[in-house]
Amino acid sequence: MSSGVSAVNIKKNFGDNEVLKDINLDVKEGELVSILGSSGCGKTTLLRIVAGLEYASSGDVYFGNELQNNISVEKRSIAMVFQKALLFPNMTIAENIAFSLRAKGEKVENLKKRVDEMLELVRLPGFSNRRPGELSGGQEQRVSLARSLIRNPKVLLLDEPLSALDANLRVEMRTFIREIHDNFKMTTLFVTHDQEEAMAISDRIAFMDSGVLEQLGVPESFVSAPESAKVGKFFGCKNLLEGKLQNGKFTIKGLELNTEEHLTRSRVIAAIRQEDLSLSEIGVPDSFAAQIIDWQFVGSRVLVRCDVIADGGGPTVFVEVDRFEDLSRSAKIFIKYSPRRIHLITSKDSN
Amino acid sequence: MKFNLRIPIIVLFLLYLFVPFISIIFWSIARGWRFPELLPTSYSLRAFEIAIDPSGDIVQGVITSTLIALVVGVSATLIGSFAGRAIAMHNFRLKKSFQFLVLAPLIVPGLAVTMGIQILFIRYGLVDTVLGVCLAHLIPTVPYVVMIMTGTFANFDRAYEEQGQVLGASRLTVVRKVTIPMVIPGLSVSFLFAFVISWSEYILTLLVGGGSIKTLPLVLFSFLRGSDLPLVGAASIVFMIPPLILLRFTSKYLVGRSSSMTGLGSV
Repeated sequence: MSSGVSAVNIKKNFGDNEVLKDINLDVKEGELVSILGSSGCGKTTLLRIVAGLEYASSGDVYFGNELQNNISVEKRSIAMVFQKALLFPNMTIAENIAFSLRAKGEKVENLKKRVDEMLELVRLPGFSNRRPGELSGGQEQRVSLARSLIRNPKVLLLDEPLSALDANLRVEMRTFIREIHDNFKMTTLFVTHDQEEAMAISDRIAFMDSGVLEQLGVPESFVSAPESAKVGKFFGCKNLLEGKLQNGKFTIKGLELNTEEHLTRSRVIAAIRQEDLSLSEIGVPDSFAAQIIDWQFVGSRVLVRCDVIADGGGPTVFVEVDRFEDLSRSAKIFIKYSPRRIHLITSKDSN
Repeated sequence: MKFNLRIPIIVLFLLYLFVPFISIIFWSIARGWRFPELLPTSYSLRAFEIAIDPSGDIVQGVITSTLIALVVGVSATLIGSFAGRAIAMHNFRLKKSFQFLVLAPLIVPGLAVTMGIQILFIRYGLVDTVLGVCLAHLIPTVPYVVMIMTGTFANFDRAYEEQGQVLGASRLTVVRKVTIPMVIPGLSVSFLFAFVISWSEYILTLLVGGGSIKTLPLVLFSFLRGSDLPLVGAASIVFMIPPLILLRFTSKYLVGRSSSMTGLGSV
């Protein structure tokens, strides 16, 4: 049986340092939510509070309807996998996996069979009698996962379990984690600093910055509709232009863009993804004139930096194009945009 | 041919270590051994017969010494482990002062301290008791345990304990099944040091035990004051046996991969 997880008004101070500032996070039963953010944003602290390894300065943690605040870590129906596999070096792989069942000191039926099933599940059959040191990093992490899953936890907590692995293995393992999650229909909280990882496996992402939950939503929303400039920036949006909104027209330093809004605001940020812009030789509707400054290769694509041509100098705009096509420095070109793809951030955000 | 210095150096070193030992063996079985003779002219096992007499001083000394050294070994390891863990894994106020205080008995001259201890122990009725001697022996032993265990715990990742907890194990189970197995090299070496130091302690035992707690070193010294050198030899041999037995079981932690002295037990 799995259950949802709710963190309600969680605050955490370490001395004078406010690590978590009033976090509210609701994870539905059977959902996989990533807590994403750069190091020091408080994501691991939040996970540790849910686990019970750390206590919140104030606020409540619920699993389903059960308040967890006064339940100590070993009594919570969780399993947690850390960045390091942390296999106990004095035990064999089988003993490691059986640890949680034996820890209670009761006799366990079919222990060997259950351990073997778990090894089968993580695709390491026959590893029972090996020792932790004999395994590769990926194998160790899979044993660690098996060791957690044998408990049948209601909530699975993963604290950057893949960041110690090399790149290819990471991709393989994250798919594997998603499969396991779907198999067990568990509620999973997955802490990561890697936005690609979060995008790839999450039902929803909770993005944190400086102890604040900045945005909670499906992965797509972070790309198409960032709620703050911080989120836009973290998810790689190169054009975050601060300007005015007049009857749905966005203006900044002599540049005027059509949007689908009909509002007026004195301060607004337009988030325009570089891949939603394109270069054009001639002026067409919904385009503006600019001058190419330089470019760089981003994987197989090219990121072109342009200055908008306007009186007194326009803003700098980045355009990502498919291929390197006859670009030349200082060339005058037109940048075509789509009003539909201009996302306006009107919130309190000041960055 | 190139002259290899290594072998002569090793031989000299071994001679330096073992010649006194060899002479003790000869003394213990000599019937008489006068100056110009290279080896004793006649032998006898008389000294060992006296040594293994169950009611004799040596056997009684061994019993007392073993009892005290075991109690001291266990207590010092326990106390020192807590202190070492605190120093290695936690930050607290006056930590530096605490570290200094813990190690101070190694620096301050023992005899001076012992006088003070004796006065204190007389006041609390601890002189002439086994308990008093054990307490006194903790003074020179705990610092060594703290040093060893600080190193051991500095290399111990607390995350292993958290991993145990999130797998449903209570604090006690975690200590029993996770922590202790991982720091066992440090614990073994600590026990060895504490045992051996307590085993060979003389001055503290003499002053606090007041001569009525006769550990083996006290027995040995009283023989030395007499002139029965074969008996001194036999007592010395008996004196060396328990530490050697202990060393046999802990030596794997003193050197090599799982050493708690150099790599400090980073498992």
